[in-house]
Amino acid sequence: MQNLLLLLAKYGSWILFVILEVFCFYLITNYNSKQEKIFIHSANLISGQFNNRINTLSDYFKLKDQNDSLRVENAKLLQQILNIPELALSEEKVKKDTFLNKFELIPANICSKTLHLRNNHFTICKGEKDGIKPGMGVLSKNGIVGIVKDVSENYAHILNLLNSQIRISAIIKDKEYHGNLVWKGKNHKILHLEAIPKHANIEVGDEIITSGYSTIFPKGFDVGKVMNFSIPSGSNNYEIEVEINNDLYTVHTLYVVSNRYADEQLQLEKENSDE
Amino acid sequence: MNRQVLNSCILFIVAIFLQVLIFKRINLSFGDFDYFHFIIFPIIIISLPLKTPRSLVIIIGFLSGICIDMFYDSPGIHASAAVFVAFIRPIILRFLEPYEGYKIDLNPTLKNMGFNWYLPYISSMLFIYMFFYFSVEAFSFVYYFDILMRTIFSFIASVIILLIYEIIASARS
Repeated sequence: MQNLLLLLAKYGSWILFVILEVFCFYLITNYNSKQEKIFIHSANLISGQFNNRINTLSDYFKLKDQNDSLRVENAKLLQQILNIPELALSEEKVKKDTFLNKFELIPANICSKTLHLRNNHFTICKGEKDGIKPGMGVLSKNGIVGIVKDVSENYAHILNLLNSQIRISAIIKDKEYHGNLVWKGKNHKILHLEAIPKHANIEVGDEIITSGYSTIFPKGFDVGKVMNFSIPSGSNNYEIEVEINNDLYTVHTLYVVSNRYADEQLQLEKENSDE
Repeated sequence: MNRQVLNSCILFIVAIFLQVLIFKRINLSFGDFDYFHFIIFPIIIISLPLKTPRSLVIIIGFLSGICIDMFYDSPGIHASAAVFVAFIRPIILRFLEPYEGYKIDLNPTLKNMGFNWYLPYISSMLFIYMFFYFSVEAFSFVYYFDILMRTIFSFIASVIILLIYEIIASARS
C-alpha cells in the first residue's frame, strides 16, 4: 500500500497527463457522435447566450448596412409576389397550392460564427421554439449557407459550407449531371464538385444549382459558377472548382428552409430501403 | 503566496475573455494566405508560479483549454494541446535552468527573469502549443504544409502580442 502511494506521489503527474490526454482525444475522435452533441448542446446554452449579448452591441454599428440590404431583399420579394398572378395564368393545370407552400423560410440572425478553422460553424439565435430541426437547409439571399446540425431551445448550430463534413448534392444547370459539393480547405470562395463523369460536357462559367434530390434544399437554387476544371490522370471523374456566390464573411441574415413534406419523403424512403 | 494565487486567477479569467472576445475574431487573411491565428491564452500556463505542483499545472491547463474549446466549438482540441504544454513545462524549465538555480518563489515573467531567459522560454512553450494544436486540428499529417505554415505564422503573431503584454506589465510595476 505504501509503495502504491509512493508510486502515485512520484508518477502522479504522468498518470494525470495520460488520463487527461486520453480523455481529450476521446472528445476529439467522437466528433460526430452523441458526446459531441451533448458538449456542443450545453456549450450553446452558455456561450450562445454570451455571444448574443455581445452581438446586440456590435449590431448597432452595422444597422445601416443591414437596412440597405434588407431593402434590396424586400424589393426582390415584392417582385416575386407581383409575378405570382402571371404565373397562375400561364400554367393553370399545375396544382400550385401544394407546391407553392412546400418550402417555408424562417429568417434568423447569426449570433456567433467561426470561419477560419478547418470545420466552421454558425450559431443562430433561433431554435426549436421557432420550428427549426436538425437536417434543415440554410440559405442567404445570395445562395446556400449550410445545414442545421443541432438545436437547443433558443439556438441552432449550423455547419456552414466551409466544413469538411458537409456534402451538398448539386447539378450543373441545363446539363443535369449530378454531383456532391465539398470543401477541401484553404480558399473560402471555392468548393469542389465531385463525381461528375468524364464524358460530361462542361465549360467554365456554367452555373451550379441545388439538385433538389434531398429534402434539404429546394431545387434550382443558385450555388455558384464553374471556375476551373480538369481530369486527374487515371480518374473517371472531373475535378471541378466551383466559385460560390455567397460571401460567408458578410452574411448576417439567414433563412432556414423548412420542408413541409420532408418527414413524409424520408419515411417513405426509409420504409423502402428496409426491404 | 495568496497574492500569487489571486494574480493567477485574474490572469486565467482575463486571458480567456480576451481570447474569446477579441482574438478569436481577428482574422488576417490575404486571399489564399490564411495562416495567422492569434492564440494567446497559453500565457495562463506559461506564467504560473515556478513552484506550482506539476499535477496542478496540468489540471489548470486542461481547465483553460476546455473553456476555450467551448467557445471555439472544438471539444478537446485546445484542451489536449494545453495539457501537453502543461506537462512539458517542467522539462523546458529544467533545460533553461540558470547556473545558480531558480528562485523558487517567483513567477516566470519577463520582469523577474530577464529578456534573455524569457524569450526562449515563451517561444518554446508557444511553438510546442501551436504545433500540437494545428496537428490535432487537422488530425492527419497529410496536411503537413498547412500545419507548418499555420504553426509558424500563428506562433510569430501570438508571441509578439504576448511580448508586448509582458513589456507593458513589467514597465507598469
